[in-house]
Amino acid sequence: MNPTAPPISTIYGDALAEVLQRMVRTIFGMEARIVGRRYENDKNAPFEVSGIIGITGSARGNIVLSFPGEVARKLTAAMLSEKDIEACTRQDISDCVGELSNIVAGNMLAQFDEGVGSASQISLPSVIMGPHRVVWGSKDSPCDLMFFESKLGTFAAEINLRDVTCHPRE
Amino acid sequence: MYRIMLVDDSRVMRRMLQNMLVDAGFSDAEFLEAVDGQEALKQLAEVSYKVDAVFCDLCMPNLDGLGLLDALSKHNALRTCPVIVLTADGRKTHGREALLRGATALLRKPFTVNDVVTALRKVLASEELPCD
Repeated sequence: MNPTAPPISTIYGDALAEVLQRMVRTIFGMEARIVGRRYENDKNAPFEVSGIIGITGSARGNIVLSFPGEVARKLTAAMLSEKDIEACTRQDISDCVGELSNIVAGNMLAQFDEGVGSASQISLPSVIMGPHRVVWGSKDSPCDLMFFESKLGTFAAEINLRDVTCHPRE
Repeated sequence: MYRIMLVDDSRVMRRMLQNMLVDAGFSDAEFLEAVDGQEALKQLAEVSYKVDAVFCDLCMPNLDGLGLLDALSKHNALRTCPVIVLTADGRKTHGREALLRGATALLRKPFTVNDVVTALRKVLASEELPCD
């Protein structure tokens, strides 16, 4: 057994990274580079603004995007084409983070094999503002937590998905 | 001047769409906004002019995108109103239901300015065809 191998399959995390990077490129016209990745059972928020989406059905788990407050504000301002980032309200930031989480999760469904994708549903996004949230996912699978760097700052994405019988499309 | 309605419960998405359209040359368009299908239906029924296109998110509280399509199809004066449906769901099968219920086009998020303008121009072009 390879002692350096990750404790879980990285296939879902890889698919999530690809979906997220494509979304960031399309909406914000910038690249998001992976600068860190770890697998952990402790699901404390890496940053203070989190968009959480639950997945149910054939695939079960959750996807969480997490942003430092300042980065969430900058992304919101970019989506609104607003030069003054202070003009963004908390509701705007919540809308933005919820929308980004929803897009990532919705596009992840298309990454699964058709049978699994069509038999899975995603929840409406919940946006949590505060540094101490904990998301409890499946006990038998640690979450795949990735950190991304972009010109608007660093943020994180995590996925905790119970093994499903099919794999994401290549 | 075109009249375009943006229906989404997210102000950020409404603003983003409007900015995209303004940047793409629709700066003289009049934009109407609604936060859900109910408000959209009310506004569409009340205005005395024709709305050229409706951009409508599928997932909204109160009356969602599919509900709005159903309501429009039952409304004599509004049944031909062109609706471009927006969805974050990337599955190919998803959105088919909206097209079956009368949506003119489907836009998957995330979309580019080009995607939005292409969908809108298609709708506007079909509206301007002579109807004989």
